[in-house]
Amino acid sequence: MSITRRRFLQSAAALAGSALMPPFWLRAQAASALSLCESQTRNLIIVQLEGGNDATNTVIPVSGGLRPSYDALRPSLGIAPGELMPTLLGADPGQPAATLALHPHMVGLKRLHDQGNLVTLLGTHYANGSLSHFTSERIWYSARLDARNTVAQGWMGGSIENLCAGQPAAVLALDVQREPTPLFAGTSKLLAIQSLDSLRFPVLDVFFNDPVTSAEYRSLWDLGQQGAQMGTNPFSQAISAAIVPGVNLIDSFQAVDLTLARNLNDLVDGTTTASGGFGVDGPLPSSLAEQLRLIFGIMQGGPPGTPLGPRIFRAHIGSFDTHSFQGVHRSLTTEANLSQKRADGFLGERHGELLHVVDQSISAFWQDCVDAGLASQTCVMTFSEFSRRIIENSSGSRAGTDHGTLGHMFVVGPSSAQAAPGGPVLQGGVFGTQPDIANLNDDGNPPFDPLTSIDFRNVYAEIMTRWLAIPAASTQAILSGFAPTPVNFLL
Amino acid sequence: MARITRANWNYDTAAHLLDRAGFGHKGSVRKKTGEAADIRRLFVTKKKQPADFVEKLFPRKPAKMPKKFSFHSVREVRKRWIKQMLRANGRRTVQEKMVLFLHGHFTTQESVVRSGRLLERQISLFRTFATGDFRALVKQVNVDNAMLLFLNGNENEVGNVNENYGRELMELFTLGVFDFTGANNYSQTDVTEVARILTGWVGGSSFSGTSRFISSRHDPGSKTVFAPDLIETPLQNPANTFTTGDLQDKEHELLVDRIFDHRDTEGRPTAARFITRKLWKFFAYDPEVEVGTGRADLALIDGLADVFVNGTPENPVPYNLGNLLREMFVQEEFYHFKAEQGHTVKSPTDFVIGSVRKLSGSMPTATNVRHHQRAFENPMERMGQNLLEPPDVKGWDGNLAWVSTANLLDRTDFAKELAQRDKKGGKELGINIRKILRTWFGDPPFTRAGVVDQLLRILGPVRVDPGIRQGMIDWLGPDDSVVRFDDPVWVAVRLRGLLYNVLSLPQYHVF
Repeated sequence: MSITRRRFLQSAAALAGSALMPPFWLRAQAASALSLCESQTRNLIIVQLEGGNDATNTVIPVSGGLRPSYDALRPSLGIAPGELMPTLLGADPGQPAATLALHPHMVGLKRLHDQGNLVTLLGTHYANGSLSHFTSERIWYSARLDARNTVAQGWMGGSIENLCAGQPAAVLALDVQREPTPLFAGTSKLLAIQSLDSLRFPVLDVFFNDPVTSAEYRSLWDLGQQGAQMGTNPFSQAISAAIVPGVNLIDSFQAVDLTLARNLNDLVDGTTTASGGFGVDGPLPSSLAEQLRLIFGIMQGGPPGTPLGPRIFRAHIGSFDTHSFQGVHRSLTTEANLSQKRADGFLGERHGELLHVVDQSISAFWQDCVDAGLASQTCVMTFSEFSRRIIENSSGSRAGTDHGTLGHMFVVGPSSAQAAPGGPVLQGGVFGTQPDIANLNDDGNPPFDPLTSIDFRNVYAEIMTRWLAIPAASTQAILSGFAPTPVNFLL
Repeated sequence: MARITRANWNYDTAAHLLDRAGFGHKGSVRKKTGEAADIRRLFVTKKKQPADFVEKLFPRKPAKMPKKFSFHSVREVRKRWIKQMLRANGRRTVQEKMVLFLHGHFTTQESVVRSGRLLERQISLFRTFATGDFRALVKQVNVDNAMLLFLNGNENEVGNVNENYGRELMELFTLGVFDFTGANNYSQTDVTEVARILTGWVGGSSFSGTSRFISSRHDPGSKTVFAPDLIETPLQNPANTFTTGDLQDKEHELLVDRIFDHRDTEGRPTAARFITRKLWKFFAYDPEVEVGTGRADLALIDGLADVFVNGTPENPVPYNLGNLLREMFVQEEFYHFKAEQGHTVKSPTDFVIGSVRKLSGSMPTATNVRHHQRAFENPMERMGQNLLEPPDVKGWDGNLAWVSTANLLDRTDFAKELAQRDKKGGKELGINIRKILRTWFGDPPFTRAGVVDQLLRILGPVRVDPGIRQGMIDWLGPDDSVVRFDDPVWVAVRLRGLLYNVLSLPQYHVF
């Protein structure tokens, strides 16, 4: 059986008064002081929506020139203006006569918008959008439009190397996933873990309670790792380089308290009844809230006065590749199912449900940050590798959408009331303009207009220079020479 | 393309062949020589050539497709498959390793397909074509019931074209988005036209497991594929372009033939290059990451692709996987890197199945699906490889994608469980420690160095620096008198501890 956290703490307490050498895992405390990246104190949480989020049904025209096109092109998946009243965002900056709203399930982000904590960036992408998940994803990860089969350096990988230059033991980032994503390619100053439970160093049960033998075993293990790091095999080196910092930090992470994120806890336990929600006993169909809860716990740090290393995080939620049944669950084949879901206060749309999870998770996370006094130091951004085709590919319940191009990004951060003195302030509101769904190109997608669409690298540059405080010249180098145009959503 | 010679063939190359072309030896060690029996059989007879030893791992004739499939849960299907891998010996070796490759290539996910029967059918399909006609396999996959479900073939009909499978067929299964110079192989128009060609097929009822063609759902119009596109494929070879009319259920087969006829911007067979490179990455190493070899690897890939396209003098059939694999396994380059400690990270399947086999381990028996899940499936999932549920449609990237703190700690966890548990009559996960003590180390008197060296040899051979080897010797005890196989405490703490340590070494996780 594997060692649980409780057993760790029990055995540590039992040995506290003894003359025996402390168990090896307590050595990690000294190592954790090295893991802080000294030049970075602000938190950045990147939430990736995997599969291609349908922007057209995320920010929806309520009125204005594009509403008729929306009605014509989305007969099955379209949402009526009447349902959009509770989530109005206001006028389209590019076409003031048009009004926009969020999807009806995004009530949390609507509240953040009203409070000035939400920036909505419309039509963010790049010219000649690739319709391959993997190519487009690599382009977003690397900020290079010529990204091919691999990502040599992710924009976060480059940023982290810049921020922690000269600090080889720093661990600045955490990817809440089993495998680290190419977002962080180019740096090893990160951990990739799914949950706290996976961070424990196992020893044979038979000498678990024997500190002398355990210490001896740990020395043998250390020896093997040193051998790998000093050897000539690059993969052995990579393996050792990945596992050693994690082992060194184990004790630090054992002190993380997941119960501190009260709003996220309610969401994960299913006790929250946010409007338009899943009902009292409905579990969230995604682990996003749990990931954010882990992130929050790590942001809070260990015992008071001992911050942990990571400040840059990635969470993710999949299933956005809604090629079919975008408006209804495949399992809801009977009217009885459908009406039961409506009675529960939830329409059960496949895409809408995902947006609801994103909305609830991020707003609960933000509320927990505000309650903990972390708002001035925290920024959340969302992105997806592309959007979806405007024209539906079928009709009725089977309707779905194929791959598209221009999507939207959301940024949540401190308003002027919450910002630190002299620190960056989020300029809440809507930026850019809706993609022109009345003038689709041959692929059935709105074109990337250099004048009105937002190149995603401009968003990256603003976050890098104004939130992470990376110098402009370094930012440009990390973005492979791209010269950014300010969007000014962060000042 | 240099082939390995008889003079360079030995225990180490035989062990490497078995590890890569299969899942390693199955733990029977000949007490007299201290060699794994499976490996010994692959190099002892002085008369044979390396190619003859390679041949011993190939089936004499292809596996047969079962006539019917039972109502097994997905877990049961997974369990049976793992059992097949644990027992893949002799002439079933390459076949079973290829099933793993093909599953990661023609990906489907059980969370979408939700039918054990359909997944079982798909695995059987892969087993049947493992060393056979790859082009014919692609045609079978086009209309495979599980695949139609997974990539929306069922929803693809005339007037409502769903591009999902059409795109992945070209992007992931045959051509790749880009050729070796970085030029696009096909355009967005091609994706739509291909999707139109594929219309009409729907999954059958899960009783038969086969799909059917419905004429009214098929797009009868004219489709033109691989026409040069000014923006996306300006360098497309016009000879690739083809037009089809209404060939009904045969149209998708013509499509596959034309896809394999596709020539890239260097005039080379695109699909052959793409598949060959992928197979070389799976069985040997990823050409992209090899510093310093660069274009030299390309000559090797093209040479192998040539064998794939044209066949061999003994077997001049095109696109035969067996031809390609046999040629790969006699290349000097296939063995060359083993001498320098390897350049591929073991997949979780390689690690789990290989380790259990080499330690004569057992897995929970047929009635114990839940135990099996705890012992095998959950750990493999945590390590990043949940069989039948690849993370997405491009399968598993491998190498550094397997390497993260969490995955490695999960591997360490599994190594610990395996090292400290006993076989218990074959009902649980565990190793056969009695067999190991009886056969691996010869006769007493035993020495600590002897035990360490033999352990490293049988589990690999795993090469370690002298300092680490000495550390292992010291771990076993202060002097050789401690080595007592009848001392249960020493065996439980020191010997099993050493075993656990070897299974956690970074070198053990790299081919």
